[in-house]
Amino acid sequence: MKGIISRLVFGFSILACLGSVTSCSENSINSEETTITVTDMVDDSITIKKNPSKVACISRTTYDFLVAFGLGDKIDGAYSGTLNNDWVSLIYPEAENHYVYDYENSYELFLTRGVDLVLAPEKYIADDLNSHGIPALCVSVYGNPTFDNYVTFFSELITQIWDDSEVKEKAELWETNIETAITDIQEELSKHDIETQSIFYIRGDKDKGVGYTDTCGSFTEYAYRMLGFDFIGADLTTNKPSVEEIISANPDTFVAGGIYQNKNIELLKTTEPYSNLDSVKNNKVYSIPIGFTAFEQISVMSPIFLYDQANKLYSEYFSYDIDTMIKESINEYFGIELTEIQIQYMKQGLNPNGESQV
Amino acid sequence: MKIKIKNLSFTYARTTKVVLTNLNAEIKEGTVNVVLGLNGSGKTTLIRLLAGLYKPDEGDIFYDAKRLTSIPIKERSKIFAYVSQHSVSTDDILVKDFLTFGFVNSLKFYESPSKEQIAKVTAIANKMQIEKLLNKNLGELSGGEKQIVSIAACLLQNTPILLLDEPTSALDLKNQNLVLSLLRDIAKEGKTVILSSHNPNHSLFLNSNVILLNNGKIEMFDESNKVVQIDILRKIYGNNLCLSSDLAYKEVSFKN
Amino acid sequence: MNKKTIIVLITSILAFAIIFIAALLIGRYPISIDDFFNAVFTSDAEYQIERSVILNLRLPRTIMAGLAGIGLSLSGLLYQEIFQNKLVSPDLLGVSTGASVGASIAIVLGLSSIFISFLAFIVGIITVMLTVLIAKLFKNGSSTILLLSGIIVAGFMSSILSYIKYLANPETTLASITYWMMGSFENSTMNQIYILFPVILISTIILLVLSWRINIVSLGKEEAQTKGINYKYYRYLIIFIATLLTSSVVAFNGTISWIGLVIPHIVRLMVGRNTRRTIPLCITFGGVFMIIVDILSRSFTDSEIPLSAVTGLFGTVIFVAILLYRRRTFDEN
Repeated sequence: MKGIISRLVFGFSILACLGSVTSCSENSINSEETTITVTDMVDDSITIKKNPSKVACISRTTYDFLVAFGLGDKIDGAYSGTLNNDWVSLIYPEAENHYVYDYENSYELFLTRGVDLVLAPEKYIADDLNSHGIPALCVSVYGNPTFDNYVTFFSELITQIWDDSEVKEKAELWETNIETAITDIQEELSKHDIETQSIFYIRGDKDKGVGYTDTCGSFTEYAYRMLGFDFIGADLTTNKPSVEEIISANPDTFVAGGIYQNKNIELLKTTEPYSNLDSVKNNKVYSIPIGFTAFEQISVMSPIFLYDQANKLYSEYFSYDIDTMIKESINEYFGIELTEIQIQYMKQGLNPNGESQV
Repeated sequence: MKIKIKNLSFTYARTTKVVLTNLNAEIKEGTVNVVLGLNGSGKTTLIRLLAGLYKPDEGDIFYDAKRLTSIPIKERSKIFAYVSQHSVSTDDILVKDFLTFGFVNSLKFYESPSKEQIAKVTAIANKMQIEKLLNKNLGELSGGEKQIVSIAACLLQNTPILLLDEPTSALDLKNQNLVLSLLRDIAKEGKTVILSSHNPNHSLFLNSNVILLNNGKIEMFDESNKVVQIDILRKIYGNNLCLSSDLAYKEVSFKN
Repeated sequence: MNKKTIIVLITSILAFAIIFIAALLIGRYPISIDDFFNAVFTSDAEYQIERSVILNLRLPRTIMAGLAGIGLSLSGLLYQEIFQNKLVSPDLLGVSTGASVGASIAIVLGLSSIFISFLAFIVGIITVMLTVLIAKLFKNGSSTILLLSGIIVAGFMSSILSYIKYLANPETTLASITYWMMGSFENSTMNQIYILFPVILISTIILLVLSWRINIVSLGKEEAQTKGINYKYYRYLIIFIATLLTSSVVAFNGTISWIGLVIPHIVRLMVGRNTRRTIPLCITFGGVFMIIVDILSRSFTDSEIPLSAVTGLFGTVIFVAILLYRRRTFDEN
């Protein structure tokens, strides 16, 4: 009897010690600073510090917006995939001061670096950080159910978080640009009797071959739908359809983006059975420019993406001056003057020296 | 062809206790020999040395003037057949398949048993009255039946010498009698039989020679009626050993 | 061989042929029997896509699936026999884990697929050699020590693999490593088959020739040796062949679990333990099973289901069905 009691007392005291320690966590927001409650992309309301000065851009679609709107000095670091791009050091040399984050990072890392806002790509990451006292907002690359209502989400969110009037100006400029792009293209298309064709988007940001695309909810699905296409990825259960599935769907057009675009286009043209498809035989295979980010990702260059694709997919109706648009945008947002040849490399999915990035 | 044991010594690896020390003996062809002794006296070790499962540390065993350690495995299996103390670990082989394994040393690597050999299996099963067991798995047999099957497989190996390590220690009285009777019949056919046993009475039943081991040395090697004497056995088994006629109770055993 | 075995063998060979043809016909891209004949037996340009799908996509992967099924089933059977333990699988001595390490190193270094397969194969073999070497340090020739050594070495390789995955770039190589390890016939090419086929063929021939003798090797050292078999030599030969089979299959297709463990059981349920019977049947059953698994993984969904998901699900159903069948026939008797 005595033995049992002493063991129970021992057990309870250990648990009591642990229990008291767990209540020691503090919220990292100092109540004296101004705060704001915002709704993130998965509809969670989070209270964060206003005008944060050490932002971790883990979500892929956030870095270029912040830099373009003049908030580059408020960034602490970004996801390695974002920074691991030969164009970044050309267009934004200050990026070398930014910390290279992993997709998942320890709490200690953020706390040591004094990060006061994390822009997380997925809800589970944001939830996890918030529950450990690190303010995080989810800025997903996917909309629910589609991306339609989220096109300007992040640029609006930026204007809520930071008070700077220049930031607001740049954000409004961008929002106008993208809305104009969509409206202008759709207006022109409505003038003609266009049969809806199917399109297959080869994502190409990882070396997963032709059978790697984006699904419903992505910006690309939205964009190509706006351009009047039937986006094959929208109906798929995963983003990795098999070869037979693609052949079976028999897309009318292929578009290839990402750093592997040239490799994938080569694959399409030289390997059977892809090379037997009508679309490939008739050369209806188009590339997507890559610069600071892949153009087809929601970014400051997205309006140009739409114009570029309109040119390629409807060459009989559109002939926008993409080169000038790129040059002016890069200058406007990043203050860099690109040469003609560099613009061509961007359009061909190559790095600033004209080499493949892989 | 006799077996000559010369200055044989053996110690198990990584132990210091010497199990057999300087044994010398000659086992004649066609004899039955029972190795007797206490547990740990080296009975099993001696049998296993003869079977080639261990190599002597000192001394040698000669068969027909050839050193056993220089005889290749296949040749040795044509001289010695070995029945282990423990039954075969795999339970789900059919008895009739298991019996054919006795032929492996007469077959080439690409061959499997011929019709004649399979007929021999049936013949020996009939002779040993185990035909009913042929289509059963080894796991379905009783201890005694397993031993008989193992012995049958060894007979099919057709060797001049049969080695058995404590063939009856795990058997009940009836099965013990069965196996010992079988061994007696085998001996009548001219094979050399060497077995170890914990029970001196078995050597009397078999009317065999006895190799009496004491602490790794041969205490005596002679006919059983000379070795199985109270004064000699008491040296090994202690002073409480006595003949059945001296006991206060009657003992049961089998006739013939 | 007895009558029952011959019936089962002939049925399974027929099944193999039928399933093979079916695999060429079935898939995500619809091909009718008419289309099939036109595509294969004519050179009509109209059927170019069908021809391409059948010859470039389905044919290589079906052959590959068949070879993988044969290789892994035989390897599993051999390990189970040699180690006298029905619960062991081809990865017992660490070959799959080792091959994964080799492949991941090649992937991280950015080497092409032929080098990935080559490194996977080499490191798989080295891993088994390491296992055997460590077992020898114990100076105890028993199979249990070899098993233990295999667990140790496999654990070691697994840690190395985790470390390599930690170093890998999550954007590019990590995804490739994970994908490789899940096992797939998607990237099978005829060039790979030209290499794998002779390996499987020669190993299979050796095993068929030795099939009766392996029974005796499986009895263990004492029994085998006293019956006249050089146990040590045969044990190493069998481990070598089993490792060769597993390593080469894994090198080309990634790790595929379950089949090496369970197909031998299914075969034994049907014809008993005798390796003279189980070896040929593992060949046919293994081949048929893997081709069916491949058909299932690629034909009913828009993206391929990982092989390991299908082998377990499909295989368990088959296993339970056979157990019930056996129980029923047993009760009837």
